Amino acid sequence: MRVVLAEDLYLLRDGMVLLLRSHGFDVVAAVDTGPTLLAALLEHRPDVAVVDVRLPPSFTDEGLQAALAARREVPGLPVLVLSQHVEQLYARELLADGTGAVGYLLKDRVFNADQFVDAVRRVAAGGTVMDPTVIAKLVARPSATTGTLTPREREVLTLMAEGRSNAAIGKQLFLSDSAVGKHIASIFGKLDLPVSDDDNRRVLAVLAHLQGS
Amino acid sequence: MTWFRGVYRGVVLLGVAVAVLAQFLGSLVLLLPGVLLGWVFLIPPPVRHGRRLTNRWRAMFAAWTGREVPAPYQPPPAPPQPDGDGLYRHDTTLYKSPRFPRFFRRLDWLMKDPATKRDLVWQLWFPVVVLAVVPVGLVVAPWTVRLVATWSAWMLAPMDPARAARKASRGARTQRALLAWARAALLVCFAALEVVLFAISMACFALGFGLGLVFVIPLGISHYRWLANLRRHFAGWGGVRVDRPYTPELLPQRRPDGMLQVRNNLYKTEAMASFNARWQWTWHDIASWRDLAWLCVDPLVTVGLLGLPVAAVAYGAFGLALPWVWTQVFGADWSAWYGAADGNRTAGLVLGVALVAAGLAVTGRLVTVHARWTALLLRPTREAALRLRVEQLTRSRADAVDAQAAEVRRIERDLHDGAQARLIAVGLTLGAIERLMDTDPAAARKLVAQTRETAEAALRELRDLVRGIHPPVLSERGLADAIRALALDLDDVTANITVTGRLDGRPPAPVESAAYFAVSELIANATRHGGARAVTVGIDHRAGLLRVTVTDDGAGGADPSRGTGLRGIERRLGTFDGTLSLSSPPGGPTVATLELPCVLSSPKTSTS
Repeated sequence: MRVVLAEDLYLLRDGMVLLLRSHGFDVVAAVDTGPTLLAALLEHRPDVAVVDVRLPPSFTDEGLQAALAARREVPGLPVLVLSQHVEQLYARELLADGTGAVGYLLKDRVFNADQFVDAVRRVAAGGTVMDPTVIAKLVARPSATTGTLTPREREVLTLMAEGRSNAAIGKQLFLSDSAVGKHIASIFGKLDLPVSDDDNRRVLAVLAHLQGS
Repeated sequence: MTWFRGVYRGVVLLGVAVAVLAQFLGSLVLLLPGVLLGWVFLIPPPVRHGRRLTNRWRAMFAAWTGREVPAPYQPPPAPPQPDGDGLYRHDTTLYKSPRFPRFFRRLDWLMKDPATKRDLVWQLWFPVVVLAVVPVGLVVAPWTVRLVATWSAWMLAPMDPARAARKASRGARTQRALLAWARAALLVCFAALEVVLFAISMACFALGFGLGLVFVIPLGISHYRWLANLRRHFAGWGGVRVDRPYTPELLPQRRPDGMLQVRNNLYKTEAMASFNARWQWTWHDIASWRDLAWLCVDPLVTVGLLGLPVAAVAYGAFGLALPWVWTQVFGADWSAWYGAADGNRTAGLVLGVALVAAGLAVTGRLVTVHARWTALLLRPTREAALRLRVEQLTRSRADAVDAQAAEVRRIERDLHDGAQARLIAVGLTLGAIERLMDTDPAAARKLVAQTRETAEAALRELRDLVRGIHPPVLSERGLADAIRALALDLDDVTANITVTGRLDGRPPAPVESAAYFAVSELIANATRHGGARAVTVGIDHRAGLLRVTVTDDGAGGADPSRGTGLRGIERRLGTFDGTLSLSSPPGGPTVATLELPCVLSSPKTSTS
């Protein structure tokens, strides 16, 4: 799987290249500025890009802007954005085009190599991965609709919005597959959402709903 | 209308007129103790019962004229709701029981309704009109009855909104003109006082220099400062800001050898030292002499500017218009001087009304001109203004340095107790893992997981700390987006926060940061203390001024002099010559406007 990596701190960049290589990824380019990232994305058209939000030369949200620009050129280009801090605002901008294949994680998540690599794979496969803190804030935000959910349904919704499959949710919450299915059906009913089997479509529907509220 | 029905209704009208007269006099008698003695609890019942009776007349005239005559009253107020502490609020007071707030709400509802006044006016005039028109009309022309009915229906129906608005704005204009006149009259009275104070000053100089009673000299050049300060304050009436120009008070300093020092003179006694300090302080302040010049000239200027309109209104009202009423209505004697112009009473009335109107029309503008005159001598000279500026800068710099030092201490403490301690723990556990790796791999694995958790916690703490120092989104996106992100982030808040406006560049980073933290505190105030449901933040940069307004629909009544939060914001903005102005009437809405002078720069490369 071909990866383009953008990170301006040498130590982190090197560490992540090592991590990804050891898990069988092919890092075709590891860049450290916004303009070179955009050029690399358009040149290599990788299977997935792992991008730091803040990059030189302006040290603002150059990485995010480059990723969004590349996705405008190449719709659906899978991008996993990493940041020292998560902002609802950036999550919304990433999700805005509704095509999926985006991820937005705290940099801390690289601590757990397996989970991080799993997230990269899911984004590459067209899935949506949001950091638990983003989801927690969205779900915690009191609204007319999420107020009617039971605590257990809330837990299921949080995991579902993070992009987990039914099986993964069941494993984490110690529930059977059918119980998870029942909860999900109940959530979709309460939120008035169309039922869908496709994990990604399901996540996008939930996120769109939560953001709209 | 047939002649018979006209006559019949005319007779009914006569009866109604008697009833309305009784109603009017009755409510007057019942309301008198409430209005005159302040027994306000007696006011609502007669008004409410009077409304019921008036509704009867309303229905009658509606039937006679075929018009719709809806009741014009405002809907009754909602019962008071307890706040979080179970207390009930009215205006600026909290009550334990809902009884008083409910009563006051009902009182306001009844007395502030323009329909109440209209009802009373109608009750006053209706008997007069009926008695004047109907007996004649009954014989000559029955349509006069219809005229009375139509007029009554019009009086008792709600006022046309456009007309009501026009009336209200006319009322406000009249109120403003009367206020301006009262202020002008007060200024003229002060002018008389100034003459007295100037005479006292001159007497002090005469005694001091003539008879050698030197101790009265400092008094002679400074005893009127309170009046000058009052006038500086009054200059605000004309929209002119006049700062106090005086140098800071000179106080004797005690030396190590026990002597008191004032400038280069040494004194043994407290009394002599403070006398000389006062002399030095007042005599060498140019503002004292400007004040004295003002005290000399101002009575002439004030009377010259404002005397004529003040006198015109006073004489027009009390000298010409009132005597006309007095003599014509109550049959009092009149003289050529009071209530007549050139021996003619009607001309006197016309002239009186004209004088009042002309006087009221010009006073507003003259008060503004007068305020400019005040500024001319009483504002600080260029040198004094610079000195005041230096004093203010010294103060705000001290504030800024204090605030910064406190902030650095907080960061140091947070790092010391948080991330630093956790990293030590990580180091210790790594040592343990090293030892256990070969002997007990299972325990080592458990410790690795624990270490990772500690490292994550350290990162989380650092992130929160960074956000408190300077939110990353602020440096990445600028003020507008940072506030948007803040709005999205406040998940414990049910208020709806909208951000309008954008900036074409970036203010300097410190200004941006100050504005951001001020806005975030204002939003927190609005939602936490004001119970706001909707907050609007408007951002705008014009004429070298960054202006951010935070408007909320909360309970209002915010007062910078009571909370330390608003004071803190003011102080922090003060470092950048920024200001915070607040409008927060009880009941809301609250509008906080902060203004910071700054220049926007286009987004540029930085290494921050």
